[in-house]
Amino acid sequence: MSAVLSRQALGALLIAVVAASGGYWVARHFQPAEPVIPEGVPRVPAANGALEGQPAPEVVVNDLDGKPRKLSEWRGRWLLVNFWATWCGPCMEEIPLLIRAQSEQGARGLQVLGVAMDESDAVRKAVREMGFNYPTLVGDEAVLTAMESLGNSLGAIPYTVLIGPDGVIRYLEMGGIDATKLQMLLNRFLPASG
Amino acid sequence: MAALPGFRFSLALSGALLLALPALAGDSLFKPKPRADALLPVDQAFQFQGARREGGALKLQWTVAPGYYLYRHMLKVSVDSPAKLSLAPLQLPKGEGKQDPEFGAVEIYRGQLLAHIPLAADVPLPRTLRVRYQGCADIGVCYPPQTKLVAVP
Repeated sequence: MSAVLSRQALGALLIAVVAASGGYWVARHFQPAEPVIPEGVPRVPAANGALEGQPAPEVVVNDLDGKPRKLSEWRGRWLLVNFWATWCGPCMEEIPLLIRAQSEQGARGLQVLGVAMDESDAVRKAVREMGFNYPTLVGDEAVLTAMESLGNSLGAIPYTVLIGPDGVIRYLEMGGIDATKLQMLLNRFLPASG
Repeated sequence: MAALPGFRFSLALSGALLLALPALAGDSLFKPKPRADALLPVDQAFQFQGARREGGALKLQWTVAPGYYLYRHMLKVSVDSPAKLSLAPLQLPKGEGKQDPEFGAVEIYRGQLLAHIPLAADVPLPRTLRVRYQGCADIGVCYPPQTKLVAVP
């Protein structure tokens, strides 16, 4: 009996190792390539990590009704500010994840806030068609200014900032966030339950 | 039945390894973040070199830094002044095909891009053009659309 057991255990262990190697290969294979910087070209920090741990500056951007909204209106929640646009493919890819996160993690104190660097009509259409369940602000220069004050001087998106209930910046991310990373981020900072 | 507990344990181990290893290999929160200084300012990523008259056409040129690309469908040129003047459509070379997860099959440009606008002999030249373009970095970020006003020499 123990020989049967150990044969089964060995077989399952072999499957585990093969599966794990496969998972590792997939994860490595899909790592984005770092862009090449030509010699002599100035490099600009895309996300100013020094802002993590600092109070978030006040940022004012209009909502889709043209009403000015302040980030501090959401003080007391874990505010995940996501800068996006309809012309930005990587931004559009992560929207369904954010919608799901709002729906599933809202009870833990999560509040997603979309800030679109785009035209209002295009944003309204996307909000309607994709079923946004979180508020969206929109603008052009105001959004660039907001991003800059939140550590992104390049204006590149997607750009995501997590602000704690106390108004302190906890995390900055330039580039897309996948489901695993988003879950890890929320598990790291948010309380276990609402 | 006696073999089941061992099998279940191994199955659980498989699952745990399967879930854990991609996270370890991938962009873990606990791994130092990739240096964010690996991105260029937009005017370095997409260097627009202005317009020039050559033969019977206006030529517009861009140099796109390695690791970056411009979208063909986001390239637009219109006359800024005089306001009522119109130009022939912008002629663009065939771009590189890209299957964009969000936008489907699109064309992009890397490296050098030379576009031209044919000029009709009996139509006056514009004084200023409004040139609009937008692109992204392979790393998965996009830059806002750029609009440049350019004098026609």
